[in-house]
Amino acid sequence: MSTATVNGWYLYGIVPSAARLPASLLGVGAAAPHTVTHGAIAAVVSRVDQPRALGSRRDLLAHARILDELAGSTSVLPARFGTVFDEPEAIVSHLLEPRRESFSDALARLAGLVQFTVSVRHVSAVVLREILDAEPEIARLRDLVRAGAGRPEVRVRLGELVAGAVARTRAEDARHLHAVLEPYREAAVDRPVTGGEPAVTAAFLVQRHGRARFEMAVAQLAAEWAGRTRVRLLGPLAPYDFAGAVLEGAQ
Amino acid sequence: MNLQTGQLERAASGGLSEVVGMILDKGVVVDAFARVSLVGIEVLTVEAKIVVSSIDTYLRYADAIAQLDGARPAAPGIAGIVEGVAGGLSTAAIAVQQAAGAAGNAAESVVGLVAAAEEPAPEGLR
Repeated sequence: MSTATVNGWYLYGIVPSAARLPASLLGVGAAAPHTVTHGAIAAVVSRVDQPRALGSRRDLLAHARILDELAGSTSVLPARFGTVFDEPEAIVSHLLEPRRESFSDALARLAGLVQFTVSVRHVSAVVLREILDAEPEIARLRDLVRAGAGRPEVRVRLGELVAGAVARTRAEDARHLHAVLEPYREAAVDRPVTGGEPAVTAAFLVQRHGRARFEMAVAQLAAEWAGRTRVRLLGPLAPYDFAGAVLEGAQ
Repeated sequence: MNLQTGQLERAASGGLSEVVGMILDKGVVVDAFARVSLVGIEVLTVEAKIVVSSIDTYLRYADAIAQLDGARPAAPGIAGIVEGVAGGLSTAAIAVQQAAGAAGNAAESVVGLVAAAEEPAPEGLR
């Protein structure tokens, strides 16, 4: 952190040594990634030599794009963003060899699986209307505030009630999302959301050969919620939200 | 490069704010003989996790619901609220004032994050 210069081998993740790298993709540092193989596993790295520290928009996107591209065709354990080895020898001696078994086990467990991330945003006017119609106390306070008759505390109280109702709506939507997709995924994890972020964000571990059915189920849910939400589906992605748990299970 | 399939937005890979949420704090950690060389990422992570203070959130919701059906907002901003409450409830005023300060800071941070992400601000509640 003391120097802004980055010179070394940037680590994206660990793959089975039989994996093929995506063609013609440039990684962090604008170099093409290559593998450093050790028995059945390999590290995917690229040369980086630049006068500035990592963390730009381009760096972050390059890290994710390389991993997501890999995930399209092989199982992959993503590395934490920003990992750089000073010496290429250290990739084997300090990463692959000491953790060879747990990496192999984790990759075997992730074989044939990819991550999809689903985020649901409320169309706020529609969801607020639902809340207004369902909650008489909110409607009463809202009329006061609109008439300019409410004291400032009334406005805070109204907002507090609405915030609570929005949180309940989010929880109900999350439950429904998970119930609908449960038959089509191997594992699922919720990501906490706050404020104006998507109402629900959840990651799903899906069989690569079953992804069409999963995607169809998400599309049907989006159609069911048409008008009141915007549903966004990302993937196939590297298993960012599952690799940690799978690695722990492998150790 | 998003494909629109009915109401479903599709993307193979995330935009910057999505990528930030996905890849920071996750993945295999190498702690020996590897440097983590980042600028500003710790700050970004912290900012991304800031929960905008509840008073500010409440006021945004109150305004949003009051404005349904095209009604004009007649409401003062958070500073006005702090003043108004301070008139009647002195203890609460201190808390609200502190919250307002926190809300200001949080809002700046979130605005900074969104600007960095070069993506539209979240739907609603603006």
